[in-house]
Amino acid sequence: MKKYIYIIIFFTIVGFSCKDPFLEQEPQTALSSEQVFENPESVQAFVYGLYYQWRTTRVNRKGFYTMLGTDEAQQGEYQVRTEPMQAAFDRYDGYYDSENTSIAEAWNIRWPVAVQASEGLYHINKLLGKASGEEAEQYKLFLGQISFYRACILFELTQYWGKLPLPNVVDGQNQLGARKSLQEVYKMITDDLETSIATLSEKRPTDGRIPTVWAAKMLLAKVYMAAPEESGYRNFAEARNLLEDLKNRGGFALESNYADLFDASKVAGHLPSEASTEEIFTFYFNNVWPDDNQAQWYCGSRACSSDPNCMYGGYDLILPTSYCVNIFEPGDKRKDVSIRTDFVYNGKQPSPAAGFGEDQLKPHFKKYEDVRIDGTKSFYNTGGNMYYFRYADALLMLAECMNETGNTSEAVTLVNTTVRTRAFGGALPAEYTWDTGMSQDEFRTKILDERMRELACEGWRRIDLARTGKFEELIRARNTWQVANPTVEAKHRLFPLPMVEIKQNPNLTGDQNPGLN
Amino acid sequence: MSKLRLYLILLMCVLPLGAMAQNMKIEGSIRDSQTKEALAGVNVSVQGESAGTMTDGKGEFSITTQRGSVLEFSFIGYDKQEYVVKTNAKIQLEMEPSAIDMDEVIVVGASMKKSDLTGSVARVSERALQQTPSADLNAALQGKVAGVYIQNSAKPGEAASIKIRGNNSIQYGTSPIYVIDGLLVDQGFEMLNPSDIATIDVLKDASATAIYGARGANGVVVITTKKGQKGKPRVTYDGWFGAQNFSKTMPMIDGAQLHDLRVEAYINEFNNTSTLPAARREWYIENNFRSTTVPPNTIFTEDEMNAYLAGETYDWLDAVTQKAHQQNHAISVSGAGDKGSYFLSFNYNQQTGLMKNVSYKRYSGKVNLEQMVKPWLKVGTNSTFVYQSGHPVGNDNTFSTALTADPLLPVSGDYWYMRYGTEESQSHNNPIRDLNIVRDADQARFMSSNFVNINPVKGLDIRSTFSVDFMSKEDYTYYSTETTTSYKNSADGDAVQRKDKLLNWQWDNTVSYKTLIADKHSISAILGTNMSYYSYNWSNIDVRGFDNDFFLYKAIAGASKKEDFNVSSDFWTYSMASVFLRLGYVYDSRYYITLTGRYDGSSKFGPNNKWGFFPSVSASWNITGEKFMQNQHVVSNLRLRVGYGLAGNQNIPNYGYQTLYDVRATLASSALVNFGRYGNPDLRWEKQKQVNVGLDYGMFKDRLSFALDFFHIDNEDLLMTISKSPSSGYLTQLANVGTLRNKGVELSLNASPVRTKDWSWDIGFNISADRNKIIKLDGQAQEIYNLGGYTNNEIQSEGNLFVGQPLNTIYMYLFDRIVQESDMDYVNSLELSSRMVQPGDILPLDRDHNGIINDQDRTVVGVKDPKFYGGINTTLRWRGLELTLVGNYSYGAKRVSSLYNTLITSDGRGAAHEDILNRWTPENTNTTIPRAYHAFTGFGYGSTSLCVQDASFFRLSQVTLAYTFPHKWMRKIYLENLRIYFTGNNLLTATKYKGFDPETGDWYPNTRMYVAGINLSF
Repeated sequence: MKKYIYIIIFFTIVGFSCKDPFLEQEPQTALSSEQVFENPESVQAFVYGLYYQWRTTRVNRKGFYTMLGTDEAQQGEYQVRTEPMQAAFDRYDGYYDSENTSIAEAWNIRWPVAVQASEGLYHINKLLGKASGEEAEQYKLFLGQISFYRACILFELTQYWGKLPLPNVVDGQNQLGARKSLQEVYKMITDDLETSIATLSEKRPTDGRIPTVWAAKMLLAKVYMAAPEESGYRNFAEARNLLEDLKNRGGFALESNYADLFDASKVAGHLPSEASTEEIFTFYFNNVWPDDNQAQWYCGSRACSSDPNCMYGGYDLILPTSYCVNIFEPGDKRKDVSIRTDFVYNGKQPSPAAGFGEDQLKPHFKKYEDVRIDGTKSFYNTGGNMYYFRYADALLMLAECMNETGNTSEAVTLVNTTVRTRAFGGALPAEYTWDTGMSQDEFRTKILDERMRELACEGWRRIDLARTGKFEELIRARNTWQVANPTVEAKHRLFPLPMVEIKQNPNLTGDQNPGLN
Repeated sequence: MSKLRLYLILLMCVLPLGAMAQNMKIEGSIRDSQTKEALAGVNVSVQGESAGTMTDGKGEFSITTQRGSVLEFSFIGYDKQEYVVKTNAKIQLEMEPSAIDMDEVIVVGASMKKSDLTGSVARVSERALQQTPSADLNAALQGKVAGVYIQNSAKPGEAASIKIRGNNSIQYGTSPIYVIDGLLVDQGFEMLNPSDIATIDVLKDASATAIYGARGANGVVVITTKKGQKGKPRVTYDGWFGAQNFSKTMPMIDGAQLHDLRVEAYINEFNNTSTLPAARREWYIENNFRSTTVPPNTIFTEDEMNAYLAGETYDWLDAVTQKAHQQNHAISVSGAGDKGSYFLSFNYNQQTGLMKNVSYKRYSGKVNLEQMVKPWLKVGTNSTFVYQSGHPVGNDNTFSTALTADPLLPVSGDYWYMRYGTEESQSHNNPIRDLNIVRDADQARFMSSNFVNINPVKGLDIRSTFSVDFMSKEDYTYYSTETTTSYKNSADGDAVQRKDKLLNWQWDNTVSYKTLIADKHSISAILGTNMSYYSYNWSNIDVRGFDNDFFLYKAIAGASKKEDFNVSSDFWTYSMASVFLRLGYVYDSRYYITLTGRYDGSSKFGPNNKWGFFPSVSASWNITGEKFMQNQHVVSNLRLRVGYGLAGNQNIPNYGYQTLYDVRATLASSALVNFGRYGNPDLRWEKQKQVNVGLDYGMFKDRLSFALDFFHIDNEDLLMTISKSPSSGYLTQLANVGTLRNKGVELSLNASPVRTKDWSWDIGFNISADRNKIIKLDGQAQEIYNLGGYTNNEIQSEGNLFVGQPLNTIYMYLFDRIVQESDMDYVNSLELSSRMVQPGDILPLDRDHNGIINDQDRTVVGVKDPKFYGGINTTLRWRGLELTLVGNYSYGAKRVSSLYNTLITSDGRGAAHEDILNRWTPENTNTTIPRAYHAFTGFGYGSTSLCVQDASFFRLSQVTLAYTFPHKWMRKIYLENLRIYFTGNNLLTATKYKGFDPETGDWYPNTRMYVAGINLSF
């Protein structure tokens, strides 16, 4: 009989041990979305992650997509010949449609930042309700930081695609929605920036990934300058106020030597001790994966690529238009910093690889060359910082606002005394000093050129062209591929909404930007 | 049984009754009731005594016993027989091969009779396995079981892939699970020593796999290893030696032909793109392309031109490959007493690869023990230890780079990158330099299944089994400073250490009861529980900067480039639990019914749906048992089987129900990043509903028999990674979407047309056909694309899913034409982006006639699954001599050979297939091989249906000639059995496929092996 008792006991144990706890196996090398929003340490790591994800939009081939097809930059010949989807960025042809996978990629990489930021805001607001003292202060700073990130990414998204299916977090979950009007889109952006301005510090924090009030104000100014009229948010006066404030109280100054801005060995890390006085907000990189940006791989010349450690090497994805190459006046020091024309390396003139395009040794962008890796590391590992906002941009914007609000001569003086003076090494020659008596319209033309000289390959051109209404006119005139076959029209100012979104989001059936398929 | 009775009656009639009650020597012989062939190695024992013997090679035995004692005859794969000793007359017994009756199969946690498995089960016996000397069991199974599709891999060190009944899951898991003596493993089955295996049962339909409910959706392969048999202890040795080479070489053009091809390719490009005035062109072509001096020739290097002028053709492949050999030795010792049995074995297998530097060794040992501790208590273990070590391929691209190398380029390791004409390609390492890669890998595995069986009353068994599967793997690579890999990454020597550890345990408990009521009602019941726990972890260290190659990967403390260190690791666990009940009822050995209910839980699903219920029912009718069948002698077996059941699949990435944030080091801090997957708390079991109808038929005492099965499977709630709307903030999600229907038929046929004293001839044939179709995908979606490529966003040609189409499709443009001069008006009217299309180039069909060639014009152009497949084998015996042929075939599968695509569109800088000699030229316009072109920018050969090839084939996979020495000779040298054989593997393949192999694809060519072997036992 004993036997049976043992057996019964045995099976009872087995029966109980099969209950659920045994079937709950938690991840050991990742946190679940619930665990992430538990305490300041995990939220801090989440915020670093958001910055990382946002920065990913600048990394690799995809980082350059939105810079292509302008009057400033265009694709290399081999790329256009072999990649029809990507070629559509310059060709504005039948491939510029919802099925374009390159355009879809540009869309896909931005939304995780917008939505995960929204989820973060939801949870941190809840945590803030329960926190006090130092912890509450910490959470507030996170709110300001994340609001800024979200505003930036939504600003890019709406500039490139117009109306957006805005994030809407209910009970911690984002709800898929229909596209919202531009008023609603810009309201969310400006509300976010008001939060940032209210919670962030005016002084640069120890970690450069945390924006200052000035970064938020800078973006707000960009919003007021670039928001389409129909949104009701275009307002040069408001932008001017913000930029004047930034100029007067922000404590920023132009680097005296333009070249230092792009010398990776001089401007290095995200710590304040290493910061340039000109930085307002920056994407920080270095030469170690995953913090490298691989930018040179796409900016460099194939002719130089047979030596993997040649810092000029690369694969001709993005090249300056000849207009951009020739825009610099004699003596403008920015040309040599921005454009590489001489490819002699170790005393040898490289020869182009046959079959890979005739433009391998034509001028290339130079800003992302990284002297630190020259001769020691592959040009894949370039990691120079990429500026998002810098003071020179703020000054040019301010001048533009002055001009738009009727103070053309003040605007001219500002440009002459700051950006252009620095460009010519501290002494602006008389023949290149702008005339304070120029007309408002003339200034508009000149400032657009000046922005190209100062900010070439820094990612603002597409937005600049769209907001000034010069998009199709200047691209047709200056982009090699458009000169050969002019196809770009006003409808191309926006990208088509990609198929992956239209098909999977039930709220978007049949929705597309006007004139596009 | 009736046969035995018949013999007894006969014996009693013939022999005088009442012999003496004293020791007597009994002699006799035993043969197979069907083949009439003598059976060697049959255990002969006296019931209740430990004494025993075994039949010799002639099937004869002698044993000393007393009158009235009972002799027991047992042999694997045959029904047990008993014989009551009356006289000392010579016994002549025939043993019945066990068809589907009377054989014990150890399923998870329970020992069952095979007859209880009323579903579709196919058995492969030890004898059939012996026909294929191979270190990989999957390879030995190939072509032998209907409904089991095995694709060997030609890649060194990679196991064959196996699919049972076609495709039943979309993304997660098509491989069956393996149950080795009750231990469930899903990988590493090929590490077993084939000589240890007694039987392999392939459970195909849901009622058969129901006992594994949770994980049976892709079929179950049950492996039973050998046990000690009563009688004289037995020692066996199996050894073979094989020499291996590639079974196919690509027909390539020679150096001179390549020269002409290149000149033509450059001229074509020049004529299409040059802006030179016509007058200058001919001069330019003569100088730059046609001239035999360098310079002015700009498209050949001096080395190449010298090679051309000297008539050289260099063979790069030869420089990185070698002749290979394999050897295998297996020794086993086994025996049994009244209360226990033992089986011990040791195996050594050694191989050298066809790639230089590649080799491999495996040692394995096995212990199977069983002991009756008390009359009601039995314990046992089946334990295996395997250790393998070797040198895997250092760089997977070495072979293809050497194969496609420029035949005018002298073989040399002097430069880093491969050169194609005057250009060097940074994506192709010099294969000679790859030989400097040092790679050492080893793997240890311990699998042990241990049981206690309590038998308190007759018919009731309580069994508890605890099993462990432990594996530890180490993989070391050193890219010396002489390797291109190190150079390219500026690594100065790069050491990689990867370590993996797996520990699984499994605890099964069952109570089973079996009884026979009123001689006709056989009732059985099994109640069982299972708990399984799986844990895995790995770590990877990649360090650089050694300056020298003194210590290879072994002293990583010397790595100086600390910034470039790359380290990573992962740890994960999952667990499963289940409870099941299985009821069986048999009436008079005629009507069988089995009911199974199983409740399974898995940690891979969220709290909402952890558990799934998997019931099944099956029935069979043994028609030959009916009275009306008793008086006929034609049909010896007729059985009808019907089954319906549910099986499950949970083979998905771990933690899919949660949204996860992984850790990543960035800018001196540790960040949490979500990499795109959104959690799905509603994830649930993938369910497979399967109906199976089968018929087993045998006539003329089963000299002709067949088994026919039809199945219809609806796979529902298929687990897949789907793409989400990007504005949701996440790009992918695991979800239960879609339905896949799979229907098929399987037939296996066995016949023995000739059976005489000296001659016998057997034929086996099987054929299977299955068709699958996607019935539904996520929501309203009519297609799900497989995105990849450059932007990670381009639609790939394979791996896309379309409602109404089979699973494995090829999605491309339809081939329209090779453009002729007369087509140019049409071509110019099309929007082709910047693609160049000129006479001699490929033009895809503008399917929607909208004037633009884009993704809308792509369509399903072929299906990769075969229309039918199977195997055929035949054995012809004359006395001790035996000739066996094994073949397998597949019909109707389509395949794209990327290798052929490359070789047929060579621009004369890399190797080219000889078909290229028929390329388009203005003089040769009636061809589907496009013109030669350098720096081509049109539609590639691989982008249209033109490249889809018929991968049907018939392969003579095995020819074995064996000789078993006559027993009377052997007895003189104290041997029980001695057999020698010669085998040729993969001798012949008939196919139209232009790549290396229609089955193993293009990665490596398939191999051919000649084997000489010996089996002996004493």
